[in-house]
Amino acid sequence: MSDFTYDTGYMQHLEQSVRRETQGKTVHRRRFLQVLSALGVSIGSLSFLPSARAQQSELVVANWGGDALPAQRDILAAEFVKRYPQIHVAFDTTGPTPGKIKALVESDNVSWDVADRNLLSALELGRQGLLEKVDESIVDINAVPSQFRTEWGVGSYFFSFVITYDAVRFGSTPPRTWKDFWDLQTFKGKRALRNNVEGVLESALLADGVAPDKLYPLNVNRGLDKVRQIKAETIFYSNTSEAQQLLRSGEVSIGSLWSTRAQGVKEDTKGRIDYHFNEGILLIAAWNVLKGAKNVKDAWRWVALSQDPYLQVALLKKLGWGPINPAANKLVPAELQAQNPGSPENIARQIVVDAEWYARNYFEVQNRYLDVLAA
Amino acid sequence: MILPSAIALGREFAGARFQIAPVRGLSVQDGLVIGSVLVLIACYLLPLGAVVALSFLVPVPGIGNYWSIFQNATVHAVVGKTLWISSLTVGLTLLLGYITAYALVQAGPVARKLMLAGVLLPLWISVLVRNYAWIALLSPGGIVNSILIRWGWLDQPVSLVRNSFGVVLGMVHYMLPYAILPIYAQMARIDSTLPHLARSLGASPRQAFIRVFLPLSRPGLAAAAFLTSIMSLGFYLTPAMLGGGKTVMVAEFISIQVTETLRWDIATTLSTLLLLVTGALVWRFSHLLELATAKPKT
Amino acid sequence: MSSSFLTIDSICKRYGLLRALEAVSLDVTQGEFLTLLGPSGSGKSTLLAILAGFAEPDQGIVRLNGRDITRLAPEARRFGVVPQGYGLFPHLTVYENIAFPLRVRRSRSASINGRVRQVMELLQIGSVKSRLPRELSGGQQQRVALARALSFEPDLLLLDEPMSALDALLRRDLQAELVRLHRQVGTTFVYVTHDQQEALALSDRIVVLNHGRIEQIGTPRSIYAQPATRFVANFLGKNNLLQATAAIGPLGRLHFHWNGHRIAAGVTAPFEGPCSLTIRPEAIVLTKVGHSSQGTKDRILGTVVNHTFHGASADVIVAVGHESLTVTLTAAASPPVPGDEVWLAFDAERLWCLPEADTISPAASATSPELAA
Ligand SMILES: Nc1ncnc2c1ncn2[C@@H]1O[C@H](COP(=O)(O)OP(=O)(O)O)[C@@H](O)[C@H]1O
Ligand SMILES: [Mg+2]
Repeated sequence: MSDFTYDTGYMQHLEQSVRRETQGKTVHRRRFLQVLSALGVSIGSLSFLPSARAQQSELVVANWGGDALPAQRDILAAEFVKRYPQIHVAFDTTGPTPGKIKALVESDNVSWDVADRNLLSALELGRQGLLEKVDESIVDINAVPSQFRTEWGVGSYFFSFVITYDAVRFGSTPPRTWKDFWDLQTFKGKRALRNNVEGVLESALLADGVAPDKLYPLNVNRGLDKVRQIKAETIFYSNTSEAQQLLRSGEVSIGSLWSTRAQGVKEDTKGRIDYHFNEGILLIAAWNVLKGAKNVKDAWRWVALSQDPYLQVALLKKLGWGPINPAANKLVPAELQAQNPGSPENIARQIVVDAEWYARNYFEVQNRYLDVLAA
Repeated sequence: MILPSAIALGREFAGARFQIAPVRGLSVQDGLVIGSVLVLIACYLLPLGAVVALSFLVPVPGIGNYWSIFQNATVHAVVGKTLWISSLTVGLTLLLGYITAYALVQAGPVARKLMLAGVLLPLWISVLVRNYAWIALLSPGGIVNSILIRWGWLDQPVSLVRNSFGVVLGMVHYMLPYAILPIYAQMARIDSTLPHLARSLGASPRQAFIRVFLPLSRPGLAAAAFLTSIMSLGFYLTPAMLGGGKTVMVAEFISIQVTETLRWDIATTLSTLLLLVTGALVWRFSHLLELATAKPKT
Repeated sequence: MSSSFLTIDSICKRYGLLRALEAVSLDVTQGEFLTLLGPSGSGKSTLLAILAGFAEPDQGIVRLNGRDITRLAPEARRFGVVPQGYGLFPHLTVYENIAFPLRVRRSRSASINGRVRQVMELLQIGSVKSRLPRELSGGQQQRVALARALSFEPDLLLLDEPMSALDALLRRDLQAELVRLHRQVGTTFVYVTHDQQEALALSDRIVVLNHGRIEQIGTPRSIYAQPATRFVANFLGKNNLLQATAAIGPLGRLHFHWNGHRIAAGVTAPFEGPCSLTIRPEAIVLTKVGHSSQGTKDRILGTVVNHTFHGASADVIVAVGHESLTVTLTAAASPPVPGDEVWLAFDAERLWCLPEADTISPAASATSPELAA
């Protein structure tokens, strides 16, 4: 195996998207064909790869694998099949990145129906015409508060970036705030931040003294400057299991992790690694239904199902997904409330991410963030 | 143009040893070669063509993407980092590769076989596994740090991975066999009496090396430099895994533009430029490859 | 005799079980042309490598003007080497090859230029100075190698089979040239060859090597006429070796009994008893039976069995009893043909005898009239 493993699917999607884009208004199809034939490419050959997509009666759910797969299968899929026995639920765990969604949608062969993403993504991708609008005849949009839904998606659960730290090392004075996170003198050791900008700027600005209610619109320059301050002592992880490992091995003393995964390390290490929701950056997960999916109707049924209060509590138990349906909150057992990112007490201590701001700025800000990391 | 020469090339490899009776003008080897050329076109040329085409087509047709990429500061930073890391790794790889190849030609036949096996073995180990191994060895809680601390050579663990050092280390390790083999092949062709002779003519050991051995081994060194330079430009997993997120090289940057930020204009334009640069290098220096893989003269 | 120029004292060199050199001792005189002659694998190159400093002997000492140089680095010796296959630097032009020894000595560039021109002129290779070695003929490469080895005016020139890759004609030209060169530059030459003709033609002295041992040291003439061992007798030129018995007559004159014949020798007796009698093919006079006899007393009757024409000469094989002799004739008008009966007469002055066991060195050489010549 070489270092140069490219995502083979991605190349295929690129071709397909070429096709789609050229059929649209911007590009002259004939001229594009000329370009391709000059390159020795025939259009017929572009769809030579067999479709991964199966029959009409199948619902394909794209998620991120790991613990999420068995939980979604045992809780959501099991219930779904009970209600709609004629439908078969299949999972694709290769990870629904924006790039793959775009590539799939722009091809004529959308092999996923519904993807485990978030509200920012619903806005970002929705505005690019990559997602279906919520089918209100199937989904009860009033099951969640209005700030947790958009035209292209309805919030499905809460999760947040939380300060996760080595409890043994810091003993009775653990880092409480992002100010502490940025304080390399008092709190020794390396830091871990995600190499994706979502949530990082909020942490940085809070650490720099911006009041929580004055965060948005984010002052990007100020936030990035703050990131630069601790860059040398920070490892920027690309997937969360890497961050878990960094904490577990002691290589990092404080990290910003998804609460769902922070709970995982806490259990693994029997509390040596701990976390809290103070100044957590709260994000709203949302199912995104791909534009032109084969099974749009069942996809929205899946979304509607995931709002079921009982299932939401089951998922909290299993994955730490915070129930977003207020009706579910009353059902949460008291002992689970501490690890529920969506409990009223925890929500009060956290900052809710402004999806609208990211939808307008994410692409540009993400590249500027990379710029800071790579410099 | 490409097809006939590829068939000819394939014949050289396949037909040299086994002569299979031709079937109606096309031999079995020809069939195999044509088949593999078609697979090559399907798997590489078509997608690459699509990438190149896309770079001229989205979001608007024209060469605007190229214009803006030359003014994009982030791209500058990433390209600059890539060039810097690449030159560093290529330089180190050549140095270590040269020393190893020299040890190989000096070694006895048994030792040489063992050493060659040691050089070739890593080629069969996935780069993913190797990178994890480096992390296990070199991270602050890793084996190397623990030993150094236990022996009292260190008070505090030092960071040997998740920084540029780790990236360079991983890349050098990956590329070493590709440097050692052509250099070794060239060194083995050098008349071993020449350095002696140079000394009898008055050269010190250093002079004999610099004036005789080094210039005679230069073709191998050039071939190794060519191979590793091309490879180093495309590194993706190693910088991503061993760089601690702070060493973003072109390949990873392209991948992020495709999957995360959806800037396919930047991604395809940068891909095309990368393709162009490597293509130009191959075009210009392909003769070095023949040199490096040629059998030693007898 | 004053202490010699180069002394090789009891050199031994082994490669595993193989004894490449066994107790080799030798004095080289300043200015002489000394040839190491021996069959392939006899240790010639090994000895040369030890002289050049490329290899260390397991035992023994090499002295230069009395100083031990056995372990001296090659570059500290000032010996020019022309190796087997010339060893030209393939990446350097003729000019740069020749200038190499001067450049590494950091000579001034003006003096380099002058000296390179001088040796190029000496070897007549000025016209190819900008070529690379691979663009030269074998003879030219040979001259460049010589020029390079001579350019820094070495104390000693070591040449390892420099002619072996050349064709016969070129070889003759270069042999003559080498002799001229030796005379002109006055440097001591140690020359390695397996070609006895070449050794005889070029050398002041020859050292015959076999299986890592020295068989004989002497001038070409003495080695040819009075070989010390059966090996030397056979290795240099054609020779007849006859199983004979030496006996001393009443007047103290030596004669031999061979094959029922009595052969008088022109020397006084070294010993009596069984010996190998040697007589060179050109030292036998052959007369056809019936023709007027040459008047030689000790005549032997034989029968021609074979005749080989070589141009200037011809070899005739003559059967005498159960044995046979080779006789070399110079251009005869009517050469004998197989079946002819012939008289053979030996030149008494050119008879030589070796004791049966090669280990006894023949005292004969001391009384040989040839030595005086
Ligand atoms: N480096 C070596 N290793 C092992 N054996 C060697 C080596 N060099 C020479 N020999 C052996 O030593 C003997 C003498 O070799 P050499 O001096 O090259 O002979 P010559 O030059 O007279 O042909 C040969 O039998 C040869 O095989
Ligand atoms: Mg030899």
